[in-house]
Amino acid sequence: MIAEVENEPAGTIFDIATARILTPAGLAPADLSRTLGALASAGTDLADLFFETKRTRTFRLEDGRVAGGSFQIAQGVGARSARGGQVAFAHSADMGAGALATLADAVRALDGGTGGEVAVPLVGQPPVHDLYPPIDLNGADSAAPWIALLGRIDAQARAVDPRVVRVEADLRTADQAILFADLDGRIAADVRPSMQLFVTVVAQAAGRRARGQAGFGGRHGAEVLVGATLDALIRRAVEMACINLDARPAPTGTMPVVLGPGYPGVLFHEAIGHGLEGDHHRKNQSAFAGRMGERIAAKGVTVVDDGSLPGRIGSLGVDDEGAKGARTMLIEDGVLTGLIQDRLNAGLMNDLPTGNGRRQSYAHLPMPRMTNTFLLAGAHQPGDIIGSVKDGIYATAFGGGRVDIVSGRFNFTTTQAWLIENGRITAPVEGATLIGVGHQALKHISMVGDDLALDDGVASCSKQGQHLDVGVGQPTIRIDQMMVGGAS
Amino acid sequence: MMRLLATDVARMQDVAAQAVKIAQAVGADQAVATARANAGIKVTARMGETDTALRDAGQGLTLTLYRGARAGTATTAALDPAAIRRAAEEAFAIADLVGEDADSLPPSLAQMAVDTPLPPIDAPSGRDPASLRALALEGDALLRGATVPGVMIETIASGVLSSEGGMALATSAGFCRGEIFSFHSAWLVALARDAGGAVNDSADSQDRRFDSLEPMAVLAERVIARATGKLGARTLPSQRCPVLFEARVATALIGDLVGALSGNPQQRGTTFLPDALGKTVAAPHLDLMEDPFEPYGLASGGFDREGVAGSRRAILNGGVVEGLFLGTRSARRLGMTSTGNADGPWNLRLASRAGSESFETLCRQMGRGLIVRGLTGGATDPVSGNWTYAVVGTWVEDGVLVHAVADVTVGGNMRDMLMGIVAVGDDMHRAGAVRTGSILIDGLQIGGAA
Repeated sequence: MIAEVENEPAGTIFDIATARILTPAGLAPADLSRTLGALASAGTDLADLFFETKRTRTFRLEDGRVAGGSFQIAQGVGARSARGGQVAFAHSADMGAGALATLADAVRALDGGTGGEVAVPLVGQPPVHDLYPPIDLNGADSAAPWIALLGRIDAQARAVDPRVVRVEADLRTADQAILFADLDGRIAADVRPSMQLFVTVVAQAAGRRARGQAGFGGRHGAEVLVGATLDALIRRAVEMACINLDARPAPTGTMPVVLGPGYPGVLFHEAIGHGLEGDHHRKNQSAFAGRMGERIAAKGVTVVDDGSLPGRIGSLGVDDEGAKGARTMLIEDGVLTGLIQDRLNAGLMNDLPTGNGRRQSYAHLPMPRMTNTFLLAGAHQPGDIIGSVKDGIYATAFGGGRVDIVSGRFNFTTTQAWLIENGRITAPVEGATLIGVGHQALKHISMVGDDLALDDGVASCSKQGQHLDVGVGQPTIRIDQMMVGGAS
Repeated sequence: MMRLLATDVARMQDVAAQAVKIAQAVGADQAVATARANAGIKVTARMGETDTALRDAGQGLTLTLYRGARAGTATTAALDPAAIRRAAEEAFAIADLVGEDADSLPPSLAQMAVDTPLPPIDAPSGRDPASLRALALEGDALLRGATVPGVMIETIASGVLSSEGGMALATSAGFCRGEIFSFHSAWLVALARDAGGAVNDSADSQDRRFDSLEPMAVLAERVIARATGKLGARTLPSQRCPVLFEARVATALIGDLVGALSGNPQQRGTTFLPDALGKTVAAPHLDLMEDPFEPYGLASGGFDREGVAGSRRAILNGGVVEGLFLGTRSARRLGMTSTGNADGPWNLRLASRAGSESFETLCRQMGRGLIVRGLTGGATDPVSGNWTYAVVGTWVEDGVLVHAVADVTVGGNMRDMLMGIVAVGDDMHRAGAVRTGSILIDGLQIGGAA
């Protein structure tokens, strides 16, 4: 899939985005230039336009049949201008030339500026990338393979274990095209396919019910999911439900914790990533402010944010401010090294954008946001890591996490975990909440496994009410002491 | 009065009714169309300057059409006839792909709120960006000007929002009604810093009438007290003890109860309170009342998105479940009729027949235990009821506040917690649909590092 794109001429993505966004609205580059000019007045440091069209299709499987489906067409343009850190922003679902003039007026009404008459020449070369192909997941007749795939899930899940009493699945395919232009003459576009499938299973035995969930997502079509990948996804959901049927209340207290590979890397998203977003540093609100260059983890702990991984749902060939996706070192061998930046905050901090300027939609302001954030592999065998713990917890799945940027306190809650007794995994335990403080917890990481994995394309992140797909990951790790809170 | 919204009920009803006609022209047997619009201005300030000034404006149409008992839904942001026709064709194509589901068909006209009264929920503020900016700057100035010995107070955000919205619902059965509403909010997020570190907290006020928002001075006083009260926090030894949930945290417990009594989890059996109707699920002194018609209530309205009106009723009557939150589909699957809750609960109020005491009295009643002032993360398992959260709060001994608490968890099971509610305070807090005072629960598991 990726190879196809590499052979196409540069500018293809830009051409597709232009055809989806500007052509239907009857817009030419001159309209963008004129509107950017109208957004800029004396003292304007930054002004930009962000156009978006997004088509989203969902299907839901319930009671063994695909019972509901929806299709959504969203489109619009957001206009921003900033003087220093003061930002004015307005948006419109109408993208015509007349609507752009009204939009510029609305922004000026907010910031009290007068607006310019001089058109801004768009002289920049649109960046190109080959991280994912500009395929259309919602084109004509594209639904049939998805429906066929959904139709198999119920029977297949019940076949894995007779204790399964309910099976549900939710599928989402989206096609987002974006086009960005700014006061510096930059112009950029991207076409971003994405798909996510979640399977939820309820198992019942001896009057008790428990739930299991698994998912899969990425920037590709249905063909990637068919076969072994779908089988494994269904099995994971069923196993989680059946394991949790036998779960007992989790223990409470400080103990060694082993986190499995993949999604448990949400630890680094919460404990490290959010605290390194540029806006929190510019405003001196992060517990990590002033700690750059400080050792906060053991040697061997290296954490990156990398938006340039092919096919990942957290990847961005071009971010929502026209910067190319890139790898940013956040912690290098235990030392805090880098920030996650968008244009506004990088500009105000005399720093460079890192390809992390992201927004939920045209109706939202961009902010520094994570892409794929993960801990790099170490040298330990996963079995040796578990074997090293006398009494503790082994967790392989979490229901998300949260962090308070100001204090650095983070937490996340298990959805699949076991006791470790004398180096062996024993009884499953119910949801336990694990808590810590970002700049302290990572010092207790004593073993890093060689089994690095990213999550299955199911992670998402909320910040100031804006919701985005991201990636998280890690190899198996041992944390010598962590606060575990359960109900027993 | 100046309006932010660029449309009105009549025009939205026209759009929805036109969409139903287009759906029928495309070949639908039945159709339901909802037109929506929203508009608002939001200004935030810090450091004596505007931080962000936002002008919001949105619109959309959601069209569900039926071919027999098969349904397809499409949403479009463009409302011209060509765009609506494209949406209708997409929905029609989807209906061709999915299976039959007779339970999903729309309610009959007889079940719908054709001529029921509409509660007043619209009070546009008439405020322009400059006056909202002045209020946001006032909140910021109050925080920056605050003097607390040994503590630096900073503004993370001082915000003001004034917004309006509207919706109109039309169906092929002949229903066509709409409502316009307003929503306003003011909030402060403050950072408190001392030699030991920094913490933050927030205070907010939400109302349908701008003039009923709490003044910035009141919010400032509250958020400064909250934030400084978190400084110097330490953990607790793991133990079992009573827990007093401050009213704004207690609203989350009521939210978990609402989830458990909602139609989909009830009909799927994915709830920690299965077959709840008629069962005692909470302490016998508790009543939970629902009222869709409270004037200017944050969750008031004449009908839900299916066009069905709610009613004034008891959800809990002496701890016994008397009502579920049902939409049409979940009601049919349970052999019942919709309660007009397709959009969730209307205004809810928790009350105790034992009377309500002040927060201070509840502290004394608790004697030795934990006040939970915030849930900083965690989860409620909707099926098992397992409830574990990371919390911040205050440790109490002999009814007296001793020290701030952080880095602890509280764990229990919602089934036991609801039965274990000892008292409800008179310090009513409203968060969206839910009003409750502080809630005292006996015997929860505290997890701490010491």
